[in-house]
Amino acid sequence: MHVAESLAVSTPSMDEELEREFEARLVESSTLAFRVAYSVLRQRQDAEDVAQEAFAKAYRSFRQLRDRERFRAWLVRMTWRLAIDHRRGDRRRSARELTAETPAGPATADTLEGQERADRLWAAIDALPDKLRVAIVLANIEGHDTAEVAALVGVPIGTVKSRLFVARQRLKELLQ
Amino acid sequence: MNIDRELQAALDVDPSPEFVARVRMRIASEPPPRRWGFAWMVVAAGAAAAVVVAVVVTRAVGERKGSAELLASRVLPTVMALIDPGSPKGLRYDDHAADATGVTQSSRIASATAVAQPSRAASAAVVAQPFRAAKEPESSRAASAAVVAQPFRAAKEPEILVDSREAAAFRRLLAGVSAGRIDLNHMLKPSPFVMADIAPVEDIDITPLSIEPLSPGGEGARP
Repeated sequence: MHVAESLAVSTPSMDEELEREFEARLVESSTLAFRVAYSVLRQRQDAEDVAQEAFAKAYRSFRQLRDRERFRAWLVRMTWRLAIDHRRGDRRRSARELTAETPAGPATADTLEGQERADRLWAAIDALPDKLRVAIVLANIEGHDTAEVAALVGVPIGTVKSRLFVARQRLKELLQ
Repeated sequence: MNIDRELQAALDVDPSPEFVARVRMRIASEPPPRRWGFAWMVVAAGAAAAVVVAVVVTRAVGERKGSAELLASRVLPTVMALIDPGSPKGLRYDDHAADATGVTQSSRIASATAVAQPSRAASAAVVAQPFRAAKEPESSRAASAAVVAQPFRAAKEPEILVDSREAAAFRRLLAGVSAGRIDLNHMLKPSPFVMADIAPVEDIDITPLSIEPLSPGGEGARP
């Protein structure tokens, strides 16, 4: 078989293999990307739009992101950046914050109290610097341990531990 | 108050069931993933080819310049001629012809040299008409011939000075040929080389030398 023929035969199969790998990454990382975006935007629809955009960018560069850990780390950073940009660029942000999502159903005292605590928590998280905020959010998504957070952020484990400690201390101060 | 537990509860939000399907639809509208590896190789190969071509072209231009200078120096043994378009025979030499352009000539007249002046040489495509009558190609080449002055090269050629006596002699020669007074046909034919013309070598008799011994007290003796 000639080289050209072998290339013509191998190229589609290579593309199909890439498509399969990307589909697997999409299924296993869709919730992660969505929650990262949601932690910044706290709007379901906006978080989905941002996560979708991050996946589209990941797809364009998927040949360099075939490794699973590398893909997830890249996806987290890209989603976080897109969410921050989206939040900064959204002129309707103030209005949306005023009409933030409330749980469906009748408003009871418990739900109102819970909503109030959630709002305070998010306000405290928003007050954290970006590095601390990413660490504390990732540590509370999908049960990531310190090593996984370090891999996702791309910093040493000791740095993650230090950031988590400082973040928790500040959140306590802010929520008291 | 457990911050981590509250935060986990706050982040326990799942995307809508249509989210993955929407991402798939979005991906379907995207171009396929770029093949950076192959594209990188293509770009690198193209760049390498461009560099090689640039080097080759640069060298070729340099060699062309060098060869042009060499040709200019070789114009020296050439002979020039001019055609006067008004002449019925098509060949006439005047004062302008001497310093006009070059015509290749046989090695026998190699000392006669042409002067190439760019402005005149540019318009002088010269053909020695009588020499065209030569039947044999090699003879016509030996006797002198047709020369096309190259304007672009003549503009770069240095001015060559010619001895006026040589130029006058060559003018007379060509004028005689064109007038029919001088016949160069015998020069165009190859001269047969006959072995019999060479006289046999005679033996040379060499008288042996006799050396007499020196007498004591004679010439060269010290007093």
